[in-house]
Amino acid sequence: MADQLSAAPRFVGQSVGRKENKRFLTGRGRYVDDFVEAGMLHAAILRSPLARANITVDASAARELPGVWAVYTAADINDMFEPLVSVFGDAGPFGVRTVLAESQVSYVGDPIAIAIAEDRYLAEDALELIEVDYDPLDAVASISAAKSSPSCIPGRDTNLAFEMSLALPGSKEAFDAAATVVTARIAQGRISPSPMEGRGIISNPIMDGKLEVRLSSQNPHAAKSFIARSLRMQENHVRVMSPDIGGAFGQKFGVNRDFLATIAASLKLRRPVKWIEDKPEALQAGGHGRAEELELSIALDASGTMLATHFKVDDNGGADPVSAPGGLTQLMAMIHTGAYNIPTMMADCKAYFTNTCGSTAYRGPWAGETLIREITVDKAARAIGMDPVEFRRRNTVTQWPHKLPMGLMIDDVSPLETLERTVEKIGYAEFRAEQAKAREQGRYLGIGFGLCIEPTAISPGGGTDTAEVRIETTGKITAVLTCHSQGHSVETTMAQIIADEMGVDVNDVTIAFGDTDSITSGSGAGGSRQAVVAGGAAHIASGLLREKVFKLAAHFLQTEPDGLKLEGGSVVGSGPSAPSITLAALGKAANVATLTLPEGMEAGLTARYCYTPPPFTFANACHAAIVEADPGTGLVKVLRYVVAEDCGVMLNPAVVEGQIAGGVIQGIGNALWEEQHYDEGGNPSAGTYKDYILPISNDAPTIEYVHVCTPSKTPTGAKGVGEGGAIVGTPTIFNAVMDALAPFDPEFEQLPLTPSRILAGLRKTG
Amino acid sequence: MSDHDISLTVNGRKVARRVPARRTLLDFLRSDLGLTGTHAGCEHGVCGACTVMIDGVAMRSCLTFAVQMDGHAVTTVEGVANEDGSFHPVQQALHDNHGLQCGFCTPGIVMSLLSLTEGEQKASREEVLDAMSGHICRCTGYQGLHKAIAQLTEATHG
Amino acid sequence: MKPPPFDYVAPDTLEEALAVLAEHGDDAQPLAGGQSLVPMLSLRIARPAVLLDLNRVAALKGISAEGGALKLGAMTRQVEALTSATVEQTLPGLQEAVNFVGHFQTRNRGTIGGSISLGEPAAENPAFAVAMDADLELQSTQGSRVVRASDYYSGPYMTARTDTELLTSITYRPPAGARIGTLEVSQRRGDFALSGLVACLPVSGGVISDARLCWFGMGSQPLRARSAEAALNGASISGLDIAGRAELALQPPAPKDDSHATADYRRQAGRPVFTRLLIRLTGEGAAQ
Repeated sequence: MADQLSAAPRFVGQSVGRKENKRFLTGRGRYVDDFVEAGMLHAAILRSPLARANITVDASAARELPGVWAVYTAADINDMFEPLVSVFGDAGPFGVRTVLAESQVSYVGDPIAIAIAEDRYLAEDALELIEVDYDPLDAVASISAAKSSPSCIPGRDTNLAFEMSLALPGSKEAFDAAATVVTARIAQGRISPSPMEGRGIISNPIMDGKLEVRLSSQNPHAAKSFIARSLRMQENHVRVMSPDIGGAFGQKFGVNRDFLATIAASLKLRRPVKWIEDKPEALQAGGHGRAEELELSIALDASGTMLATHFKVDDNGGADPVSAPGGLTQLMAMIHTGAYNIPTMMADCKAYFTNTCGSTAYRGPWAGETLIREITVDKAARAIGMDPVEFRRRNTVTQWPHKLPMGLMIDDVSPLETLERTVEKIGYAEFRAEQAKAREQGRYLGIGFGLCIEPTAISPGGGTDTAEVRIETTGKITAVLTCHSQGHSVETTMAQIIADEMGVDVNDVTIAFGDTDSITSGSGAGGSRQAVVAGGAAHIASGLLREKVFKLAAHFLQTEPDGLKLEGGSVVGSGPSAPSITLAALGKAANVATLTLPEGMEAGLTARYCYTPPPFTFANACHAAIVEADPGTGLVKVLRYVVAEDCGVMLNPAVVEGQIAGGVIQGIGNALWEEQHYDEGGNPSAGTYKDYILPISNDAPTIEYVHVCTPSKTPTGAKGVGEGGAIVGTPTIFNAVMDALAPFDPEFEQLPLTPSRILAGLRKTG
Repeated sequence: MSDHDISLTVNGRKVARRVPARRTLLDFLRSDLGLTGTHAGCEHGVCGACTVMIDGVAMRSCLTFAVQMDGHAVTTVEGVANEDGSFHPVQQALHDNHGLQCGFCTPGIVMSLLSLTEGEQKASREEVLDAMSGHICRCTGYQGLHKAIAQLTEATHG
Repeated sequence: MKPPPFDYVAPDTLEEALAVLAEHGDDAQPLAGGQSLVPMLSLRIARPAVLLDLNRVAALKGISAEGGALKLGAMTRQVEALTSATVEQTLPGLQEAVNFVGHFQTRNRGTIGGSISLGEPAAENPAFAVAMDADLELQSTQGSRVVRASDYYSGPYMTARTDTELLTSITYRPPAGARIGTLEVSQRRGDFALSGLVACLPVSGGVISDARLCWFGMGSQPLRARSAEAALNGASISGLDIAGRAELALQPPAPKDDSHATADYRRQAGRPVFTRLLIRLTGEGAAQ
């Protein structure tokens, strides 16, 4: 293949400037809320202010308000839908299965009614006129309450949603024989994914029985299937168009109940209806991630070698999770030993329904396994008096491929190398000297490490993506893909891959995606998959197109396809005369002047490939942070942050670093600031972004990168990179804070480490 | 509820409309004028996505009513690029330094950077960095923004 | 998240503005910079019948100094206070306090008087006014009166202003030789304080007199730490037992647990806030 191109990759591996930037920087990006349909109406949703109550609803006054077209409650629209199921299609118990709450509300934010009016202001006016009689019931908000309470969700007979226990051979014996057993616990802060663009939809019933939906969706193809199935519609009568997405982080994979209510309203009114989530709604009803309590025990022999682990997780799925709770906990158990040589394990995984907002996917949804492991690893090192780096070094797997205790095979990773490179980059030995000196001056510096293997492009059931690459009449290349972008820069990176494969300039390649009518089904954006899966499809499809191009060029050049090359937008033959023909000439012949084609050749120059990736690809990383913690105020400042990442071939280093950085800062937020906290009555703490503390620029450290490259065995050699930063950033910061405050014997079992929790967790005064 | 006739200048052009008192400047720009580059983020003044310049000063359009803009001049992200469509140095700096990903917070950041680096008192690098507390970007981890600010303040301060 | 319906008036003169309040009383809501009020409108927490926009009232603007006192029209924007040479010369401590308020973009529109009128217990402007015991001028169609800032607050968002009155100006009278400083702990730049303190220490011949200390974010309103003030008065700044005064200062606040911090935390964090600020103000080079 390489000999068919003029040189080694020209664009892949370069920090090519993003093609997306022009429109975003000039205000011409187009997000769902920027679209206006003729005759469009606006929706607002009435949500429960109580965590659990029996309700009766009277919307008659609201319906009388001038400018209001309709107010729908459960009685008006729920029958239009099949009982709701998981967006991922996984089996298992599901929470609230109706679009609007019927006789009982199940969390603060539970949708009760939808008002449709000429504008959003009037729709919100209508909400105020809906009379709801709430008869409060005892709320079940926490995992401990869920364990001890009868079912809190209508239609379910128990709060337990999922349970799995296993003890692999030798695990009990390993714990019995251990010289030391170290156990750590942590309860996560609930994360609101908080993309800056809220969720949004415009549902437009077309009068021939079709439904056009503009949706801020990471995967319009899955949304199409879900909507059609829920409405009992023929799938190809539903078209989903997902335009520019203002961030998603997993949250926009689902098709939520408020979307379905909007669709129902548009169908009933036979008018386009827009609903845009506002931020109080996002915080209370937009789905939460990381609502889990974790525990890990590590059994060690006398030399500090890990013998076995016992992993426990309780997951709070809330009332209306987008997928069946529990699946994630299984994945956590499967991969929680990470990069360490741990031969056997036990696991206890449980998931519960509660009267809280349902769980949703959030950047590295299984991150809890890395969090609890890396925290416990540091605690174990302290317990046996070994340096945490040395402890990691001794227990890290060096022989690959490596089989995890539950059987998953991992290959093409480099954890020890990333550890050593991180240690070197941050200057570990020098830091310990600096730390000692600072302590003498009453300043508390600390260093933390986190080591992680990140499963990327997880595609157990197939998880294909398709690329359809064509040469236009002018010779320029257009590719339609099934992937998506929520800031991932795929319009640039996919063009880089195709440009290299087709020997053209990156600016001659245009990427399109996001419309389910324009291509077959695919996997969208999410799970660190685009570089691997869509990239693989684009790579292979381009190769197929190249063969077609050579075949056609050979006809015009009166030569054989073998020996032809693509360079500079032309097909060039070999030999001293080196005859050539431009892609423009070929594009015109193939698409317009089709009578010039060889007898029997199909017109057009298009190739399509549907790529099935391996079930798992693995990236890995080691992070290190230096923090300063103030034992007087409990404030933590991140002074340095080093990432050594192995994501295989980097399609675009600037894009890779952007993904890492965004993840790391979210990981820091998870560790220090972000939390939607519920009290025992099921009342959430944050109603606005004054109360939900997102990381800001002023607190973002400069991230120092080391890139290690172990290519994957997929077509691009890339591995995913979208989630690792968020996964390993959190324990890295936690460990650094513990190290900084070591003289105070800290103990923290709840994230985030707010100033309040930090002071409360210091068990000794300096 | 009262309605009001207003005339103002938006991106250098005169605009006259009748607006209900409660319409925010944000909704006025987006819905009445179709200037959808100004984004509705949090709508309560925290995230900064809706930042515009009012009489040359960066402010939140979600915390201002359209009716208050009678007689004033508003500049939005659509009014920033050069006449020929090429990038203004603020836009160029963000582009050069991978300062944006999903692009949703970007227009607000452009407006704050513009008001800080183009205004009468050119702000120092530290002042510009400090002013970024008024913008939330969930994608980039702020790395490219910091580099863009270094590039911009280098240019203005030599 | 859209505001409820209301009528809007934007008078040019103070007389017209006061007449609106006289007519509508509690049903009218004055709008200053709007950086706190507009979110409350959009969340439909506030729902006035009439929104009285003060942004066109020229009489409410202006910064002037006379005889060591600094007078600000209530509609002085925070950015104006931050960039005013008059403020810098007369009361630079105000600039330090205002710089903690919100963000660059909100300080460009938010006003000093609006912030004082709102009375957010964790905000800087009310506490600074209380620490300085500023004169708050209230006017109505019936006349005007001056309320000392120390008497202005009676609870969260509760002030001495009646429904027909308007805060028109703030006059700060910094004592001679006053060393004034503000320090706070907040999770992020621009957040409300978890614990904050404004201190005004007039120092003459190395001895403190008429000390004023005002906590914010430590209870339901800005709180003077009177017993610590008394214990500072007459004390020499050299060899001052600051830690001991901190314990006194931390007696009155009765913060509550909320989602950002526990009451215990606020008191604990108040200790370093107090000691660090007083060490700074009593240290060498702190004299103005």
